Amino acid sequence: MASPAMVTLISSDDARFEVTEAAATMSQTIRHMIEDGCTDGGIPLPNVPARTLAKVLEYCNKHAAATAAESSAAGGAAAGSDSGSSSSADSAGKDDGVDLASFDKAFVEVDTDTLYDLLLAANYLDVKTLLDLCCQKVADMIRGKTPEQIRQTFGIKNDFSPEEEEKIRKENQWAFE
Amino acid sequence: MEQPLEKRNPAASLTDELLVEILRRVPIRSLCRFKCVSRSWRNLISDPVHRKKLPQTLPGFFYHNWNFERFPTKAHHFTNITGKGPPFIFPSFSFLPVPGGDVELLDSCNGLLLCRCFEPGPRDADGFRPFHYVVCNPATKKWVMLPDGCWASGEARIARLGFDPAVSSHFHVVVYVLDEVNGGDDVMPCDRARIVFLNGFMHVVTVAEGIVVVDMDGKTWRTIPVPSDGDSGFIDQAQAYRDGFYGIFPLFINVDDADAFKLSIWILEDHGTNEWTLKHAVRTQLLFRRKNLRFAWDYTMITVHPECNLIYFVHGRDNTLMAHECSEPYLPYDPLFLEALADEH
Repeated sequence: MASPAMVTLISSDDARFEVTEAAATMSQTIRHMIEDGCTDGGIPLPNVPARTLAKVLEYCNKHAAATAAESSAAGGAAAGSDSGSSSSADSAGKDDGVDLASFDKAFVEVDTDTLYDLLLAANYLDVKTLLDLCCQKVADMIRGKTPEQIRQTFGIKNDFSPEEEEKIRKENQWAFE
Repeated sequence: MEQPLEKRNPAASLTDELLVEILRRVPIRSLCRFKCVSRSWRNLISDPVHRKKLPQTLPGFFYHNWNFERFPTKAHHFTNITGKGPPFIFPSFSFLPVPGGDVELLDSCNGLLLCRCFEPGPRDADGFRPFHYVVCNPATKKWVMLPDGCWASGEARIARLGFDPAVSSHFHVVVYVLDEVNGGDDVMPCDRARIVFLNGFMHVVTVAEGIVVVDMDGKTWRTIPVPSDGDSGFIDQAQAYRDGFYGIFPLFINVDDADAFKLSIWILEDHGTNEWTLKHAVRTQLLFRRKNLRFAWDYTMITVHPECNLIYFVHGRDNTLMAHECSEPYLPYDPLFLEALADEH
């Protein structure tokens, strides 16, 4: 079997990462750069520091490998003629699904700054499933918060006058009870 | 250079687009609370462009009733169904140029209401009073009167309102006129039929048992077959989660062809195929916990909650006043505070 195609990614702080093309192209941004032939000497990613890029690539490697395993399992099932082999392929696929879900869950169990860094990187690199995962995690974290806690989290200045804030609070009173 | 750790706050650098991606995943209660965070968050949450993506709730309904022991005998009401607080919309319509009793609510669409305002003065020979159509926004008390709303007596007309603040600040009033000469009742809406205005097209259930879709130039007409031959159907819209995002889709409720006491709820997720997806079926016995009741006879549908998990209907019981109320149109209404009302168009 031929060794998989590799690409080099360069973080904002000049760290170089060697990854499979399958993992790298989970990022639509990188996929477009590869399609445009901008890969000579590595792909520069000026918005992503090494610490965050390493984490994003951990995610991409895991998911790219799972996708590859899934498609080869599906191929095996199609090739197998007896029902026994296809049912074992099915259960293998299911295990992968459970495995991937628990990987995802553990993957976003990080401190909040890392989570927002990941979210911004997933957005810039356009890795849709990772962006969804991060947004869902942030949503789960903020859903129970008060407006004041939200301001602290997102570094927002309250620019309402006390009267204005009171008015909006009254209009949405039910949401505070 | 990296900023000192205690100063660095990556959460503060989220774009509006990313904030919306996060906020569409929180419950409606959290979203309403977050309107207090800052001006920019309030505007983000209330922006009509984002409202399609964000979870929505249905604040309430307008309806009216008659009581001959009070004056005026006709009164408009607003029912707040969020379950908390007093109604924040006062349904007196005192901002309109005619007394509240002379206002007839016809339709409601994305925060605007269409009404008939009857002129003071005598009725004509057939008992009709001259009127004008008025489009108003009860949240901002702005209104626009349309020229010439009157029609020849005996003629059948049904007026409906189309308005989508995410697309344009202009509204559309469409008047369907029954063409008796040509017998063309196939595109005539059912009386009291609600319409759904989506993506610039008005969807209406017609007498000939299909849904007719028309654009606002009146040039493109299309029929969508409905998933039964039954003569009772109700159209609404519902927010549904599909392909990883919230979208708004037409929804159709009808009575099962084979079982008069069973309701089916369908969603049209793909306009290209005209194929309805069955979302839910329920027996009326389960809805009312009593003997089998018939659609349109014993109960009337009002609307479906935008999140598609609740159906609102009115049901007569044995109370005559309530039975009367049921026959009046209830208009689901979600207030719109942002837009200036553009001139009629």
